[in-house]
Amino acid sequence: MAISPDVLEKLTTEEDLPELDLSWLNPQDGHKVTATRVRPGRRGLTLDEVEAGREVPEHSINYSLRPRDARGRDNVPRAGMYYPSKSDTWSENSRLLYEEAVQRQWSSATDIPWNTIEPLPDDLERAMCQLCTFLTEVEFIAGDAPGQWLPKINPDYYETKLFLLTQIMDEARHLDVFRKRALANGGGLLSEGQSGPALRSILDAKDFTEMSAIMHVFAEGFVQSLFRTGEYISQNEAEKTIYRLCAQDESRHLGFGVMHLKYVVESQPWRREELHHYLDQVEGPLSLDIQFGTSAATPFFDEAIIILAGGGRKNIDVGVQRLLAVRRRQINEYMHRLDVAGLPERRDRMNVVLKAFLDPPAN
Amino acid sequence: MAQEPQTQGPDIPEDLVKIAQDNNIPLDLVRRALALGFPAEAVKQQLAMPGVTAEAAEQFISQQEAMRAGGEVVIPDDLAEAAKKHDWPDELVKRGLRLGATAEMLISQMDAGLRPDQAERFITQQERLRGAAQPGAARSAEAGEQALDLSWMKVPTEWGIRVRPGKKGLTVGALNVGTYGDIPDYWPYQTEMPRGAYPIPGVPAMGYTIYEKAELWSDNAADLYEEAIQRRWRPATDIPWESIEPLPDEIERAMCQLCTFFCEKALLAGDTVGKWLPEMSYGYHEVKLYLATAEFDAARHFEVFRKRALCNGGGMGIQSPGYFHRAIIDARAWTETSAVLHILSNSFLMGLYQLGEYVAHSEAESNIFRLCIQDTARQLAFGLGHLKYFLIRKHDRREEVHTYFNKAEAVMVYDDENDNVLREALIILLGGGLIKEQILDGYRKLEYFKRRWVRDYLARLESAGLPERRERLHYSLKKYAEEPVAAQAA
Ligand SMILES: [Fe+2]
Ligand SMILES: [Fe+2]
Repeated sequence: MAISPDVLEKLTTEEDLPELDLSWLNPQDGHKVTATRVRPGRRGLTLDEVEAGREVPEHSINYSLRPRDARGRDNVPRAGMYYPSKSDTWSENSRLLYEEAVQRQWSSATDIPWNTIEPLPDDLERAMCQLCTFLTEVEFIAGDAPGQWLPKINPDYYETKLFLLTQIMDEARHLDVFRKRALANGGGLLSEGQSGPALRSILDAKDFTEMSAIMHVFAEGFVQSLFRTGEYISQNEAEKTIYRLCAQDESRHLGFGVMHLKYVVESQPWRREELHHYLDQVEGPLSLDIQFGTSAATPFFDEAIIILAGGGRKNIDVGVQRLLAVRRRQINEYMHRLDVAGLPERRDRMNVVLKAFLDPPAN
Repeated sequence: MAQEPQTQGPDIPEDLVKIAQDNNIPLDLVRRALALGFPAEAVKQQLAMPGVTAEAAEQFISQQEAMRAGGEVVIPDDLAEAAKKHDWPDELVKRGLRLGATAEMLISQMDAGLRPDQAERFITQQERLRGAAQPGAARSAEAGEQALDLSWMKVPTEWGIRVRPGKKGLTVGALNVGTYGDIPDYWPYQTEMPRGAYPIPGVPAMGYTIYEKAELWSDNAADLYEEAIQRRWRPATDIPWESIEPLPDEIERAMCQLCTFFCEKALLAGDTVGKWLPEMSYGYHEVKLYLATAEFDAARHFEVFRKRALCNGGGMGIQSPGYFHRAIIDARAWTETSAVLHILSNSFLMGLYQLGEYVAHSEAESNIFRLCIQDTARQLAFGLGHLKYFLIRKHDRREEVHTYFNKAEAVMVYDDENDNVLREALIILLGGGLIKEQILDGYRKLEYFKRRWVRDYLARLESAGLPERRERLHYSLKKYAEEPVAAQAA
């Protein structure tokens, strides 16, 4: 049904009516209601479904909060300075990751079988509590960092904003679940972690892609590989569930980072060397850090893993081997992600200390 | 293959037997490796490495046995050559071999550019970890344990906390027991250290700007956080989208205009809270946790209203004038931000959601508005909780709070006066169409809804300890606060 211009005319002139303009309803303005209706699919009404056939511009000079496809007004005050190009913040999988994040939220209060936690020998409980203190700390940063980028992402690329908002939610839950574990079994929090300088580098990033490469691909990749070796470091069902659910969340964060990197490598090939530079930097202070004088950047973390994975302080040989296995997994998975992102040459360029853990490339 | 001869030595774990057999490594070699003190786990990993042969393993084990027997470590020729080329001292190379590194591995490290001083640190660490600092030292469990620092085990934090899940599970508020429940008025740390942990020296500052509890706290944050998680919803699947039927053009467009307005508000809330999160120091994690759920609300609200706008033949409408956004973006204190965003802006949004629920044309629409009301109620509760906390502790800043509201209300009124499109859309939705009677009806109902949101706004401020706002209210809003014009709608 179209709106007759006569009706509009009449409505805007009748005396005892409030004065209405109604020009925005004008059927001649080229913004007419079409018959296009979108029905929910197998996974409900997803972003992919409503966005099908709609274009995402390569560039945007939107400086207001105008959502994509909305009509602009003149004289709107600028709301901020946003990245102007799709490549700057885009990732091809963000709609999918967003929808998955919404579907797979969980509650640390009720979805963890807390009653499966039994008293542990003192050394194991302390090691677990040290690991939890470390994790509750690093999870904080992964919520703050996306937050500070939100006001710089163009509303025309809202998918990235939405994804980052789910990450902030996920990381809150991670922070909270490790704090809960530390205080649930006769223990407590222990020492502040030793990753401060490394975490600072995430906040220090001056570019979204820099932040994403450092945080999503490198740092969260390492955390993810640790969670995926959760069987080494868990003593009960509750802990296994925690690692499994956190790993599920982290794989989305990584997935975003890897696909964003890939998008940048493909659409802005001249940035390749710049990207390597960011990784050069982060592989230094975040690695075992032998070039900076200490034997390892995070001995507290390492020792906690050694004790947990060895099954106690009397079995550190096994623990050390498993810690090294975790490291090997972390670094090989990191390289694999860079392969997927389109940076296979990183294998040759990787910091030698990390490189020592690399398996030969699979052919 | 013939049965292998049984040599003296430790039993081989079954899984190790299998790995050895899969890789054609004689079990006798495995036994010799275990006898040398290599943990089964390490042997397993070595055997599983690609390209491991029985010959290489034999060579490696013999070498290790010779070393243990007090024999001199022999540096193979190719390794010696590489070491010379890269300036690695012989003693360092020998320490590497003693640790179990193969010649091949050391050569590739040298070629990759590992400097001798870097290698030295790495090898020292490994020696320490393995309790093998002196050649020939007994590799006892005690020696291994001594190789660890373990100072973190002895830090003076409160120990012995056992919080049990209650009726609502294991909640974040329940963790506030003993010293973990001490939430200081000033947080003294510039790092990410969680509240209740033990600080270590040397950690760099993270650049937060809010260290005072009164500047961000709300007593209900922990509960609101858990509630938000329990009451999460999924726009894709929790809304009965199929209940949306084609609507008359002007109704569809009016609804889409309202949706566009909500989308902008959601973008604004997401950006604004995102900007403030890294400003808040870590001692008050309950607030940061709750705000993370508010961020998730923002994402869902944008999503659900965009989907509604795009799913029924309408499409996005016209952007808002954008003046009021700036009152929120420009706020330079968290209390100002929260007051304007969570209380003023959300009171208006709450009114619009209620209006939306009232005019809903389908089960989908009424669910959307109902769920948004639920989410926004939490945000209001946080904002009011914070304002209340702030006013009790900051008597001298009461006037400052009014200044924030003075400015924000004025900009909001200006924005509203410039947004004919939204006003007309609301009239059409409330009246149900473009016929004269409908327009009049819509207009009257809109006046009712305005009165309703303004009164709710004032009642909320009163509950937060700011009853005098009623007198200070912007003059254009005041007429809606006046008592009582017979409500003619709903
Ligand atoms: Fe996380
Ligand atoms: Fe993460």
